[in-house]
Amino acid sequence: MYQRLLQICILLSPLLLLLYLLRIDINPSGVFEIRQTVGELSPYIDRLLPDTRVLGVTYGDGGAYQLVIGEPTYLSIHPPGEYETVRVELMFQNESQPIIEIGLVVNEEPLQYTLEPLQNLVLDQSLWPSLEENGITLFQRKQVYESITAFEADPPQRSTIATFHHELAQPYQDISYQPTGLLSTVRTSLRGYHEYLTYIKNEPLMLQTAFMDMNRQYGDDPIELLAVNENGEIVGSTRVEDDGEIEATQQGSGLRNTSLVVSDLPEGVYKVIMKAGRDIFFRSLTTRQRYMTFVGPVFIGDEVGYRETPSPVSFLTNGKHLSFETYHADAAQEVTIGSDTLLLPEAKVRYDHEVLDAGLVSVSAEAGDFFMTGDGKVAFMRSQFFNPDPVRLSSITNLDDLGIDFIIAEYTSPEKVGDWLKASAMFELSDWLKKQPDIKFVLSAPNITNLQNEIRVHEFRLKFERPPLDSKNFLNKVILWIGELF
Amino acid sequence: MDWRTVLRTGYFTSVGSYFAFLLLEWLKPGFVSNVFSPHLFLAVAIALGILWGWKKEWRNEKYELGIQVTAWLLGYDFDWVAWTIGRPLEEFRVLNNLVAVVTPFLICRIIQRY
Repeated sequence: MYQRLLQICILLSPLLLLLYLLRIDINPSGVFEIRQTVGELSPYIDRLLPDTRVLGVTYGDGGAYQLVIGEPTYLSIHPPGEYETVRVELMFQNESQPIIEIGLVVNEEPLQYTLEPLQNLVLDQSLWPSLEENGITLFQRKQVYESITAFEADPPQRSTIATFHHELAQPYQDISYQPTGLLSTVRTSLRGYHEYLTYIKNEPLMLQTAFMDMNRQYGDDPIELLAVNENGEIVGSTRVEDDGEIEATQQGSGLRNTSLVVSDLPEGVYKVIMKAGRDIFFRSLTTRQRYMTFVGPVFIGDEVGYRETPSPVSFLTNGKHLSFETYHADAAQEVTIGSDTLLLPEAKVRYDHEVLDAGLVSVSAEAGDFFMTGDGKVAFMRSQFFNPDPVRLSSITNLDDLGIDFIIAEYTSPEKVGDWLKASAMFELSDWLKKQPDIKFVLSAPNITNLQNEIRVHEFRLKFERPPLDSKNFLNKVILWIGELF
Repeated sequence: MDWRTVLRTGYFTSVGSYFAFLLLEWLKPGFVSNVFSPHLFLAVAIALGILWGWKKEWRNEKYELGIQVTAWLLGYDFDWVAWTIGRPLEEFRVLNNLVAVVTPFLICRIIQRY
């Protein structure tokens, strides 16, 4: 009798184990929490990389920690399934690094991530009086506003405001703006997707481009030019189809033209999106607008198949934290950035540079073929640069020099838990990210190397969430799960 | 209680589970290994197999079959490990794998003789 019972138990145990694994995998509660102290192994969290920026595990009184001495550092996560949001919590110690942020990588090529604040010592140690409402804090050099609502209803001059992870409610208006009515042309080759900002007042939005399809990669290469208003609505667009060659022939299509004209637009800031793949090289951009200020990454294209001798490149940026990468070995070169220079000796290696010069700095190189990302905006002529956004508070923002009297921030200071500080950030996972086997986070600590600072990272906690499953949905999910196996 | 029967049931259940969970892991990477290693079933199978053959009088045709199954499982595992970590051996990699596959069979032969 007992023997039979024991045999049945043995035979049933793998089945029970299978049900247990199925429950973990489908997770009807919709909440999945993971934690990893540095030095521990986790099937869901890889260690912080690269090793050149993160030192080995050290054991102190408060537990294990790793010293972060460079940036950015990356943390790869293998999500336990498809979830809507993820909250990342970091336990750490920091004595002098001014700003620590964490970002979710939303695009690998080109690298793009959304940053959220973890700690801002500039704000934590600020002696300015502050007001807090609904997670938004307003710091004032001298108390002018009684509430954040009053600040938003009647804001001061933009040039006196610095923001930290906060968008101002009032749209930008340039009272002194007058349209030029003149055509101006940028003749620098830009490769693939770009975005720029412009200002419109009693004039049509106009962009003429001359471009080439260099057919270096397989696939068709349509182009779309989109005009988007401050609410993110598309107010005008144009599309050009591929040149008809989808093979990677390495043969350029010859110069083709397209233009975008949108009339009767209300006054304000507009974004023009040049949506194109990496085979498309914009050889010239002609506009009637006064301003053409690029935001996001800028890819200065090579001129192989366009000009026999590559032309020198120069532009201006207000970015203080720049990264450069070149894709061809023969594009190794030196880039002059303000009063400094940066050598790009190797292809496909990212070179970071901290700009110490204040304000707008010029960037120049003898030839193109490099990809630049940064925390600022870019213009190819000084007269085309404008900055509709208020000053973004960074580790090197000099509030006195810039005449900043107000800082408005969506930021909560870290909480002290035992020997450690606890800070968290919430990210939404897009449909694309939900399908990825891995998601990657970036730990950003601007200027950490130059300032010779260090962060002691102790523990990561992640909380994935999605709506819970009821019994019917749970059964459907089990059927889907079995279907997915085969 | 007939412990020989219980151990035999445990042994074959472990072997069957090992195959089943390995297959699940292959079909859905991380499904098993995120919680525990599927190779634990092999360790349990070996342990139960040793106990099952502890007494010479317990050994019969089913035990012989069990030894053969264990040899195949170990051969598969050793082969995978040797192939994965044997990359630097270059042209000796194939020979190294042959040795890895044959070794468990030799060990099982010795056990059977003993």
